[in-house]
Amino acid sequence: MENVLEIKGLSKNLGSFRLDKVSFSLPRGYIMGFIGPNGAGKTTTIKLLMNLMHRDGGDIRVFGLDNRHYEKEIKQHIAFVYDESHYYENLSLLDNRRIVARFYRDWDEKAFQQHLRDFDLPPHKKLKNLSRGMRTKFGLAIALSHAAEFLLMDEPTSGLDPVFRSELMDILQQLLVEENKSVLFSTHITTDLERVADYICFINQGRIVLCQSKDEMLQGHVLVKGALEQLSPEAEKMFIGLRKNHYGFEGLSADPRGIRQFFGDGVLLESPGLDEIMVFYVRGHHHV
Amino acid sequence: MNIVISNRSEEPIYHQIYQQLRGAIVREELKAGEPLPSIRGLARDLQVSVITTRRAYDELERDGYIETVAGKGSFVAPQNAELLREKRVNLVEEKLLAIIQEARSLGLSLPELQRIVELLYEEGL
Amino acid sequence: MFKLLLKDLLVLKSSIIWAMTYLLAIIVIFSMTPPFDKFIYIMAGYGATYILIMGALMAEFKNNSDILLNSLPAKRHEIILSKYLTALILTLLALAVAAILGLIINLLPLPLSIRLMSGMDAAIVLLMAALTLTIVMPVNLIFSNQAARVGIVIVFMLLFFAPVWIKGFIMDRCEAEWAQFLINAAVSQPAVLLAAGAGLLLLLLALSLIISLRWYEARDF
Repeated sequence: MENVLEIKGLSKNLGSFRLDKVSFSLPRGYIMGFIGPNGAGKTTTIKLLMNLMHRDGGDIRVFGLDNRHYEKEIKQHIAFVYDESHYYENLSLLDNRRIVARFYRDWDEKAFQQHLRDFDLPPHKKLKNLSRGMRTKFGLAIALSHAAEFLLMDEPTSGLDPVFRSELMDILQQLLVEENKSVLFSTHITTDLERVADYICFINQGRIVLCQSKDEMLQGHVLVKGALEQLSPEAEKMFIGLRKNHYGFEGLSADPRGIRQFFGDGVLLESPGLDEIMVFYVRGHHHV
Repeated sequence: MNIVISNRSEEPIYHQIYQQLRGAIVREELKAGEPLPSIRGLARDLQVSVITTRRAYDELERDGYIETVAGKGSFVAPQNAELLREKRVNLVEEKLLAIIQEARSLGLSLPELQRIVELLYEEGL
Repeated sequence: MFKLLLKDLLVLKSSIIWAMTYLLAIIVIFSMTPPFDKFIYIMAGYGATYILIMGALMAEFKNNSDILLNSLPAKRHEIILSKYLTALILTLLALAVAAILGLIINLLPLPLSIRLMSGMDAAIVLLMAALTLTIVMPVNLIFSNQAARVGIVIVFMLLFFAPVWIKGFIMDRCEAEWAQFLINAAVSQPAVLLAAGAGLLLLLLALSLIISLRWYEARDF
């Protein structure tokens, strides 16, 4: 399977934070959720990928090409939406479009006009008079109007309401109907991805914790709830994260079969969501 | 054809899709040679991931319900009449098994269960 | 590169109107108040250039547009080169407008009488703009937009007081051999001295460009 993105051993030292040998790849035609708590290294990875930062080590290939050497060529085919709009506040949407459109060889004005209508964007309004959601939509309208094959989104939904987030997911899925489009979507709001993501890459403290298909990740973990007496030091080792309180425990394990053998019917087993997987990995064993 | 996906169900989503498509094929709502929706189109319509949908199609193909032609999509495989009947029986057996387990756990005897089935069958529900 | 220039012109839309209004006001007001009437084109041309250059830098700063520009298919050195080039074009624009306004005022039956713009006016404005650019660009990149604005005020002060100060400095040491040489040169060949100054300035401008490029290439956003 051809990869649109391949990252190998990517490192960056930022003083108080370091990205430590991050490796993952995204096959063409799929959506990957890039999840992790705030400050985990999602934005740093994306900035390195976009050449907004210089790496200390490692290798990044987009469409199979080195992202520094073929920067301009690659960026022709990457669309980006960041958590904040960086377009010109004092200009109208159409003037902003005038600036950006010239940079893209395959600018599709028809598609852009269609997106403006679909997203209910006022073309003559200045950007500074738009709400946060509208700005993100404008960024998306630009991103979807130059025949990009790889859509890169860094926390596009932070601070946006559930209705817009659901709309965005529909837009992404519509995009994915075409087989050559791929999406990398970073977020700490994992519910966005629960539905549509094909792959999940989970980063914490600058390191990749897990990177696999969403189905594998969800089915490979089990949420266990039971009484404190059922826990032994040996049993606790089976958990990635464990939360104990006076009334019982709740834990996440990456070994559903082992858990079933060990506890039998004595505990409550549930399938975890992405947010629970993330929380237990990040917090580990703790007591409340 | 309807496909209803529950995100809250214990059943993995790919399996829900598999079962409902299989049901439609066995009931002959989808006839042999009829095209199935494209994997990506179906994923969009059901709001599930492409990989999940692909897995359901892969398993349907493995079990002989559909055939995939490269570049053209997936089609309902021609079903042998004898086999089709057997598959229908299998489908009912699968569900009955769950009911029998439930009945056992509630302490219902076989004759009691049989009576309930007869009654309900005749009422035509 | 052309697209980056167009970007600045679009961003400056409102500043351009401002700068041109300023230009006209200066020309009209100071043409009636000697001895400033001698310098109207320099004051008007440079003032408008200043408004435009600072406006362009301010817009980039306020929007944090480095992130946007560097995410588009553009190389970092193109972004920097275009900033310098835009400044040059804005200066030429201001000069052209000043010259045309002067001409129009002259041709119209107005109670104003002003001279036309000379080559020397244009040369001085260009040199002043070059000096401004030399200082403002790297300071704006390396330190901040505020620092650049303070920096430019200092340049202004220097421009006002330095000639007198330098003259005094040289006159106080008029016995020294190098001072004699400079005085002779100033008297006999002022054009050569001016050209030498301009050459020095261009050298500094090139240095400023190199510093800006180096800095920008190495930066993390």
